[in-house]
Amino acid sequence: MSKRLTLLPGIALILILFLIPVGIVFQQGLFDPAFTIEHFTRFATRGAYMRIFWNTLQVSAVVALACLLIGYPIAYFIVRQPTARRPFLMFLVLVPMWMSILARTYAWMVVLGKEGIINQTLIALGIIDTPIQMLFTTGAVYVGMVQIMLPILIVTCFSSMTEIDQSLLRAARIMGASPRKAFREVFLPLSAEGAITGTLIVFILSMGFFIVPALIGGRKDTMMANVISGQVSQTNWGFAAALAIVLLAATLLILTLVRGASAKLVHHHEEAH
Amino acid sequence: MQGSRIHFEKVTKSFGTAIALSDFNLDIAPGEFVTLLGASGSGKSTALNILAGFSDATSGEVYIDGRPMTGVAPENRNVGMVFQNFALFPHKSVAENVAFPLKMRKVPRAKIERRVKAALEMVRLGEFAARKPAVLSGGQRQRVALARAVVFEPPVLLMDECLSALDLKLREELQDEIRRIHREIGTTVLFVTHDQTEALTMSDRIAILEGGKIVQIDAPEALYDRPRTRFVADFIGQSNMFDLATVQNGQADVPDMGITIPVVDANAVAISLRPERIRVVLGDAPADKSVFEGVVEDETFFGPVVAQTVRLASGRVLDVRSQRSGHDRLPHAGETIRLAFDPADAAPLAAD
Repeated sequence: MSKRLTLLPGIALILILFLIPVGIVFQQGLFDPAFTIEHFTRFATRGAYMRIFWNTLQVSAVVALACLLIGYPIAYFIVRQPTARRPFLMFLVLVPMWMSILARTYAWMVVLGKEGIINQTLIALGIIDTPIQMLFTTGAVYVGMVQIMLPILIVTCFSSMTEIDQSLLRAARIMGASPRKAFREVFLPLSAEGAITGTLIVFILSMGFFIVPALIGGRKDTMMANVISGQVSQTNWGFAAALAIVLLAATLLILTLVRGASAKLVHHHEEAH
Repeated sequence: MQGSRIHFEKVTKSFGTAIALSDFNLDIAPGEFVTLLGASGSGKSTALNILAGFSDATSGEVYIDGRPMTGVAPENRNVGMVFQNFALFPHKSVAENVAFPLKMRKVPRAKIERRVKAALEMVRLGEFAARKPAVLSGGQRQRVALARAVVFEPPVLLMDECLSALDLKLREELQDEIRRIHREIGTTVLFVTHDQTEALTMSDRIAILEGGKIVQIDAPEALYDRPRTRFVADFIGQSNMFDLATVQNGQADVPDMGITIPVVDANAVAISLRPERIRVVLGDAPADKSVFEGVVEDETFFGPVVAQTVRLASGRVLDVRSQRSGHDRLPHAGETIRLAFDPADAAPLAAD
């Protein structure tokens, strides 16, 4: 009984800070003032909104996968270092998170701009004559978002990797597995769950991203959060809420699908032996 | 199957300034069961890890069947190993765990199935094949680890403190099982433990390690009856140790006892006497010069055996264990007791 009581503050906090606002969003999106799906039909029938929706999904998926491909090897590298050296390396991974996303995105403008560091260097070296358009492109959005999200994936992968008992790898080796096989048979399956979780977290956070596409993306790189913010500033509360609901539903759907698929994958991997 | 010959030649291992093994020499015959016994930090696990290929010797060489092992990766040594924490793959079933070494050796599928089945039956876990390690008890996990380590019939089997996590009864059961499997498959076993009882009951020979060196290696009986240093006498079993005064002409005084005994070893500085080798001199048996006296301080009754602590005139206390023959009345606490021993039962100890 007392255990349940101690949960009360937490439950209250979630109720006040999360469930009630979400409830209000649903109410705003579905009632105007009577029940209506007008906002949703507007979203579904206007090509521009659907295109932005698909773009949001695509950018989030690419960023999440890029983070996985870059972050997993980095986490693996750090885990393989002597225990005493790991905290310092993790510190380096986390340092960028101390800076606001806004500041970091502005920094990318300095790096990628027409007069930016990269273009100036390339021109000075005589590799190019005229500056390359890097800022306000989809590529810039990817670079900016991956840079912001990467530490999250590395931390998630790292913590699941440190939980892998090192003697399991030794056991695999002494039983005849080469280092590569030991990795594939033991380390990879045991770190897969952390990697999938990290990738999903990055994906979910990316779905709601706003600053990076707004500042360093082009016109066609607009994401759902940018549209929502635009609608809010025009006090189209109902439509903004509807877009938020679509975003939430899509995120939850993909989360469920990926979770199910990964559970099946891990299961299948085990069955295959 | 034939076990391999293992040979450690002048192996040293240091971690920075810390020396884990120094001038470590050990020759193990094919099919022999040798135990490395020592406290933690004595170097026993280091020796095992070097043999397994998990770490390199700083100098010296390890040979398996005459083949130098430096530069040979663990996967190419054909060595089976049971780890301290069993190291079962949590994401694989019991059968998949046991199949792993065969799979790595590209054994055909049908043969893998047959041998996994046989190995699991050997450790009496046939019906657990499909389970995950997480649902097994400690003893069952240990047996899976054992099956996995021997399923590919390795000529060398390493065991690293693999029983220490289990409770006593289970440990004794598994000791029997390990000995049985060793007899059945004839592999050479190098067993590492800090548990002397385990070492005494299982091994053909025991190597006692201290500070990265083997201080004595012998068969269990020899080790128990003839410890060569205080450290060994103290480490194996219970022991009463007494300093010797000057050894001359094969005779030495034992000042604490006030007697003189014949001592063959001129280098002996002390003797070790097992509590059960000390005899209680009863009644009016004639006092000769090998009999000494003390006062019983404390006694513990075990049924067939009585353990007594006796304080000698010098103040030294010694342990005596007597078999009760039924009619004799042993002196009780507070009473004077007369003791004697066969000088042949006193193991001469060299300076450590």
